[in-house]
Amino acid sequence: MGIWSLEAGTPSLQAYLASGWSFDLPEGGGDPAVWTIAQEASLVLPTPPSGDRDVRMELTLSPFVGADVTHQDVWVFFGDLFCAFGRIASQGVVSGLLPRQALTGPTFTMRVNLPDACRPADLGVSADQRLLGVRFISMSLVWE
Amino acid sequence: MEGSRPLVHRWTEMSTAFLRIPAPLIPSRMELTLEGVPFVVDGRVPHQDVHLFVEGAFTAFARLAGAGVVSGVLPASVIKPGQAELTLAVVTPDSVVPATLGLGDDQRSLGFALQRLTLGA
Repeated sequence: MGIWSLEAGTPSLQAYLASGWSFDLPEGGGDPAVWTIAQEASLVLPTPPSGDRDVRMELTLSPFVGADVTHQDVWVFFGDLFCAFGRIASQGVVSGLLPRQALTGPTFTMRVNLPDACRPADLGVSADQRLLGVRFISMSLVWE
Repeated sequence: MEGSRPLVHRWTEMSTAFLRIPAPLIPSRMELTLEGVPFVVDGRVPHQDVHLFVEGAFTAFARLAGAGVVSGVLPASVIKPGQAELTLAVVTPDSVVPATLGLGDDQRSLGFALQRLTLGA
């Protein structure tokens, strides 16, 4: 069995964030706050050495909710290929099998689509003008 | 009922459900059709959006307010020579747990009841 994982506190995390993410280090120290700040965010990840085995992806996220926004829909694609969907109202896991066609090169691109992302300022819950969807907590790829 | 045979069905029980079907022996242009019934409740759940992916590739979408079909042409790229199976993902973002609506004790998150699947040229 093999496992490859990333957490918000992983020092190299920022290197994998391709687009659509914030990376804010707290003043008092601790893990960075990594939020999606667009309706699509992407990561570029190393292809796992899984051979012909199925690879399961588990993405732990915390949604932005407030006022009338009760959940975030999360669609995960690898390249153009669907991998997983989840509707999360609190911290939770979105999981699915990686499409094998996406694992042909040394790296692959994971796209996270967030149709319900919204600006806290528009909801009147804070002055934050960013388009928030989900906060990245951790991610793992597991193959048997 | 269809003739004298009752139509059986299988519910999607989560917002994403997977099934595997035998792949066509010869890769060619094929149309995939799912027939079934959405989980709808008068005045509360008016429809179900059904997204269909085959081997991860988007294949079809339908918004169903009653019995209907979700149908699309398989992207040619998803069928490889010698491939034994195809994996289908059926995504119903608005699936609902009937118990949360006060409709019995069913704790499954129901979206779409599949009655028939057809793969044809």
